[in-house]
Amino acid sequence: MLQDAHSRKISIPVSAPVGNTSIITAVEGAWIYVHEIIGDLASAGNLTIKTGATTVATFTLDAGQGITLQADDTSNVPRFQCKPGDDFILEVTGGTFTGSCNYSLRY
Amino acid sequence: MQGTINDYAVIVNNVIKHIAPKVAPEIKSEYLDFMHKVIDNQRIYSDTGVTGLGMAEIIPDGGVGASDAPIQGFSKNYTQMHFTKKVRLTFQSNFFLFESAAAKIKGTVKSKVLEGKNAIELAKNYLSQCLLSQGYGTSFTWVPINAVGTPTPISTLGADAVAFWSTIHPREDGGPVWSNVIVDVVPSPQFTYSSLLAARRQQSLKKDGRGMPLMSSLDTLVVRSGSIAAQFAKTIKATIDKGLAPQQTNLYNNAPATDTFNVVELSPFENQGMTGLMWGMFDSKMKNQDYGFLYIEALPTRAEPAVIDLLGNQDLVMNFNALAVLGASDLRGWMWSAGDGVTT
Repeated sequence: MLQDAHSRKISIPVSAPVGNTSIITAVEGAWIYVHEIIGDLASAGNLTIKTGATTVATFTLDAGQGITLQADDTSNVPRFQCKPGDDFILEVTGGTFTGSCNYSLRY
Repeated sequence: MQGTINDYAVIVNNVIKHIAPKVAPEIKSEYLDFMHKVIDNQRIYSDTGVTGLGMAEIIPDGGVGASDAPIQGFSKNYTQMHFTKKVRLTFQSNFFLFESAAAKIKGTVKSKVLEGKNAIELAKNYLSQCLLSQGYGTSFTWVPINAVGTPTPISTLGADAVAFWSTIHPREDGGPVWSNVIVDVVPSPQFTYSSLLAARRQQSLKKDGRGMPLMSSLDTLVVRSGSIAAQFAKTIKATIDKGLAPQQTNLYNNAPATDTFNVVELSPFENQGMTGLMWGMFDSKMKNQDYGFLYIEALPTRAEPAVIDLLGNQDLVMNFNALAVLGASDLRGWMWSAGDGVTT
């Protein structure tokens, strides 16, 4: 059942080259709720997930290795959340991370 | 503005069939939903706190007990503020809009568009929620919406001389500071079921002026009307009222919920008022003259007699006045969140 509430979910493609890439730009007065990230890394390296300046997860992936990060869909609690003013950022080493991101906003 | 006849060129046109008022439908004195009303006819109202006694002790036979006495608490003065609304219409405006046999604005429409009492109630409603939304700072400059009128400095200090919402409220006996900023891992979380529980847990730890358990529980939620927090709060409340706990995923395991709560929704003024993410809770048992926000009134809104500016340009001038002050001395009964995950 519901533990939280948010806007409807939006899916966007993700293509994050080596370095920091802002996947979702901060929205004034709103939290970013990230429910799912799926994708793979072109070359072996690290995938680091950041909410603003805060690192919330780091994974080491092989070339072509896929990853799926999902929230429990029945609770409405997101897998990651960014405070108002913080971008959702992927930092990649090795090669480009390609996939999809599913997110919503909490005003 | 001063309404001259040139401001109403369309309205006084003789082909106009209907004048449609563009006025908010209902003005409710919503500040009284979370403020205690005190009627005091003096210009300055003062309150001061006093603690009770500390806990008793155990002494050996023949021993001498330590002396104790109540401790004087913190004091605050409230000086009455003058709320006013002046309406000014030129001679022709008043005549052709309202007085002429062919006057365009009549009856209920006239009462809606010239209701100065509503203007004052709106100012009180807006100021009251600005005290909530701006309460993390020590003061702010209150600006009436629509830029009619002058900015006014407003203090947001309690009797303890720190901001309304603070993590460093001093205690009367010099004991540990206390906080009324909600923390659910992060400070000022958005409203969720878990942050509701967090707020109540923190409230339960509040102490009186001598460090004794305050035994207070949060039973009233304050949110901005129509916000996700307001709508979601009603979902949670309805779930609780059914006896269910919103965090459960398996209906076979339904457990009794935590206590229910009331929801106070405040008008979405925006500007300096509440954001959609802001929320707070208070203990309705502590909405009284000793704790919480106070609305101290010396003069309820009064419509002064309408006058003609006979020495000047013969404008019709109407004035509406009220004397009141809004503020708080001791917000021990409240917990508040900016909803942004940061503000303390």
